[in-house]
Amino acid sequence: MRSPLALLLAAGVLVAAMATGAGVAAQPLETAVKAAFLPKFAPYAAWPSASIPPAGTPYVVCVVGHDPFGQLLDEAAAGQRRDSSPITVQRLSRIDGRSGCHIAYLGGSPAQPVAAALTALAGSPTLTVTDARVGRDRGMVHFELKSGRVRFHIDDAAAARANLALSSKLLSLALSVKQRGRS
Amino acid sequence: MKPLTRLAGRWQTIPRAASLIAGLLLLIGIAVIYQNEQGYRAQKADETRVQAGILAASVTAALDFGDAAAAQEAADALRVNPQLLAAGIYDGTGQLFAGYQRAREPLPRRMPAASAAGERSGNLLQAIVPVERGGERIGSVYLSAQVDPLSRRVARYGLVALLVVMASLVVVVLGIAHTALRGANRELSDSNAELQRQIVERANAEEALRQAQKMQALGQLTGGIAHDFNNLLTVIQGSADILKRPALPEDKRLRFADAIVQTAARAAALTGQLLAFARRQPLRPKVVDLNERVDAMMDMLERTLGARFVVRTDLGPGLCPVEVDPTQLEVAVLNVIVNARDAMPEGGGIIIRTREAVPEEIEGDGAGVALSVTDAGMGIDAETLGRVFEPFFTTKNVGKGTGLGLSQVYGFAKQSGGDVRIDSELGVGTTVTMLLPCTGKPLEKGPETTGPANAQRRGRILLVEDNEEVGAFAESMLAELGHAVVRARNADEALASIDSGLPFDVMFSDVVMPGISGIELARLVRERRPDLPIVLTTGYSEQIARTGAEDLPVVLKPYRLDALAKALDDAMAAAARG
Repeated sequence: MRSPLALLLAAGVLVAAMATGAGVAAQPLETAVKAAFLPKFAPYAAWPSASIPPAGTPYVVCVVGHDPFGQLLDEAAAGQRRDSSPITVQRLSRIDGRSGCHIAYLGGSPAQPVAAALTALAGSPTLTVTDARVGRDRGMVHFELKSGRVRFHIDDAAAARANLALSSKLLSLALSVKQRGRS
Repeated sequence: MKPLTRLAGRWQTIPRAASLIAGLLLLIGIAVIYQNEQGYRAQKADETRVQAGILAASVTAALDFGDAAAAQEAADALRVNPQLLAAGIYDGTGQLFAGYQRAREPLPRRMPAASAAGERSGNLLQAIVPVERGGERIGSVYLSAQVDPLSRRVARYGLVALLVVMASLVVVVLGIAHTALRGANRELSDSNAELQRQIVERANAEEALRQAQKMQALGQLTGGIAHDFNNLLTVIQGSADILKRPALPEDKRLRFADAIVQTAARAAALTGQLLAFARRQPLRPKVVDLNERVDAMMDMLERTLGARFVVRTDLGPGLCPVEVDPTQLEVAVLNVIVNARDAMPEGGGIIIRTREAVPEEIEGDGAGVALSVTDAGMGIDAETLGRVFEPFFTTKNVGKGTGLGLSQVYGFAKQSGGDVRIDSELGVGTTVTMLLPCTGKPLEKGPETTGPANAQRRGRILLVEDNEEVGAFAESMLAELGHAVVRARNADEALASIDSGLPFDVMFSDVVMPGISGIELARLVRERRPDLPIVLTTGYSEQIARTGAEDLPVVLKPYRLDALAKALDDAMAAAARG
C-alpha cells in the first residue's frame, strides 16, 4: 500500500526534475503517474445507484484504443479499492454506453477516435479521462503536464450530464474546473 | 518588632469562624480557578484535535494524488490562527509531505510517535490525526498549538482571584468588626445595667419623696379636720353641758339645743366634704333659689366669723333657680368665707353678691347666675393662684387648713355644670365667683323642717347595727319615736330573729357590717319575708356607690330624728298600701 504512493511521489519528483531537460525521456515516468492516478479517481466519484457494482464485484477501469500504461496500470489498480470493491482493468478497442466501464481512459485509435468515443459515451455514467498528449478533445478529466507535474482539468458539467458526482476534494486539486450548471 | 506584635494581637481578635470562612473561600476560589484551567485546557485540546481533523479531511485528495502544493495551501490556511504553532501533513510512510512551522516550534521531519497525540506538555498542545480515504489510512496530520500565555491566563483569572481575596478580606474585616462590636455591646449592656440600677434607685427615691409628700398632705388634712372638729365639738360639748344644768329657762334650753343641732350639721357637712372630695358621695341636687339660701346661711356665717367681721350681701333680684346640692352649696360658700376670714387676720368686710351671669361667663348657650364672695384681704400672688384648686394645696399652717376648701368649691361647681373663677390682687383683695347654670325645673319647697318628730305610725322594728354606740343611740331614738325595737348585732342574728317568727313591721339595717353586708341581708330577708319593708342606713358605702341600694330607701348617717322617722313611716305606709 505504501509502495504505489512512494512510486508516485518519486515519479512526481522525477518528472519535475526532468521536464525541464528532456521532455521525451520524462514520458515513461509521466505515464506511470497517470497509471497510478486512474484507479484513484474511483473513491472520489459517485455513480448513479444502477451503475454501482454489487458488493464484491469490481469497479472497471477501461483503456480504449491506444494503451500507454501496460502493466503499470494493472499494478496500480491492484492496490486500490473503492469501499469493499476491487478495481480491475479492461482494454477495449471501442467503447459505448453498454461497455460497463466506470472509468474510461480514451487513448484514441483510428477505429474510434477520442471525439467519437466521447460521443458514444455521451450521457452514460462513465468517468471519461482524456490526455493532452493524445489530443485536444477533453473528457471529464483531462491530463496535462504543468510545471513538470501531472495535473488535470475537470469538466464537472459533463460529469453532471452523465449523472456522476465528483468529490470537491478532487475538484480542489484540478487545474481548472468547468462548473456544473445550476439546475 | 512592635508592629508585628500588634499584628499578632490583632490576629487574635479575628474570630475563628471568620478565619475559617476566609480560608474556605480562598480554597474554593483556587479550586474554581483550577477547574476552569483544566476545562480550558481540555477545550483547547479538543479544538486542536478538531482542527487537525478538518485539515486531515481537506488534504485527503491532495495526499492521495501527491499534490503537495494543495496540501501546503490547506496547511497554510491554519496560519491565521496564531495559537497553532506548527502543522504537518505526513504521508503513509511517515515522511513530511507539507506543513508550516513558526520560529519557536520546529516541525518534526518524521511523524512524531502516536503516543504524543493529544498530550499536553507545558504550554503546548499536540494533536495527531490520521488521514483516511474510505477507512484506509493514507497519512497523518500533526498539529501543535499553544495555550494562552500565562500572563493572559493570569489576567483572565485575576478578576476571580481578586473577588475571592476581597470576599475573604470582607469576611475577616467583618469578623474583626463583629468582635469589636461584641466588646462594645458588652460595655453597652454593662452601662445599661448601671443605668437601670440608677433608674430603680431614682424611682425608689421618688417613691419615698411621694410618700413623704403624701404623709405631709395627710398631716395637713388630719390637722385641719381635727382643728375644725375640735371647734365644732367645743360648741356641742359646751351646749350639752349647759343643757344639763337644772332649772334652765325654756328659751335658753331651746337656744343651746339649736346650737347643738346646727353645729352637728356643720360637722356632717365637714365629713360630707371629705366624702365628696373622695367622689364617694353623690350630689343630691335640688332646685333652689340662691338668694334664699344665702339669706338662710347668714346667721350661721356671722356666728362662724365672729364680731371682727362684717358680712354684707348684695343680692340681685329675680334670679333664676339653680339645681345644686344645697348642703354642698353651703359648704362651698362656707369654705370661701373661711378663706376670706383667714386672709384678713385683723378682720374686715366681706361682700356676698349674687347676680345674673353674663353670657361670656357661662359655657354653652344657657343662662346662669353668679355667686361671688369678695374680701379686702392680702390677696394671692400669681404663682399661688395657679394652684389654689389643687387638692391638699394650702398656704395655711398645719392644723389650720385641710387644703380641700377651694378644691371642694371647684368640684362642686364643676359637678353642678358650672365653673369657678378667682380674681385676686395683692394687698387689695380676692373675689371668688361661682357660676351656676339656670334650671328650667320648678322651685322645690325646703324639705328639712326642723322640729319635733311627727311620726304617725308605730311599729315593731328589727334594728341591725354592728356599732355598739350607734346601735344603742338608734335604739333609744326609735323608742323615743314610739317604736318597739329588737336589736341584732349582725346579719346572722337578724335572720335568726326573723326565723323565730317575731312579727316585724320594718327592718332598719346598717349596710357596712362584718360578714354579711346589709344589702346581702336585705336580699336574704326578702326571700323569707317578701312583704317586710326594709330601710338601709350608711355613712359611707362603696357598695351602694357601686351597685346602688337595689331600690331600697337609704337614710344617710348622720341622720336626724325626723329624717329617720319619715323614712320608717314611709316604708310602713308603702307596705300597708302594697
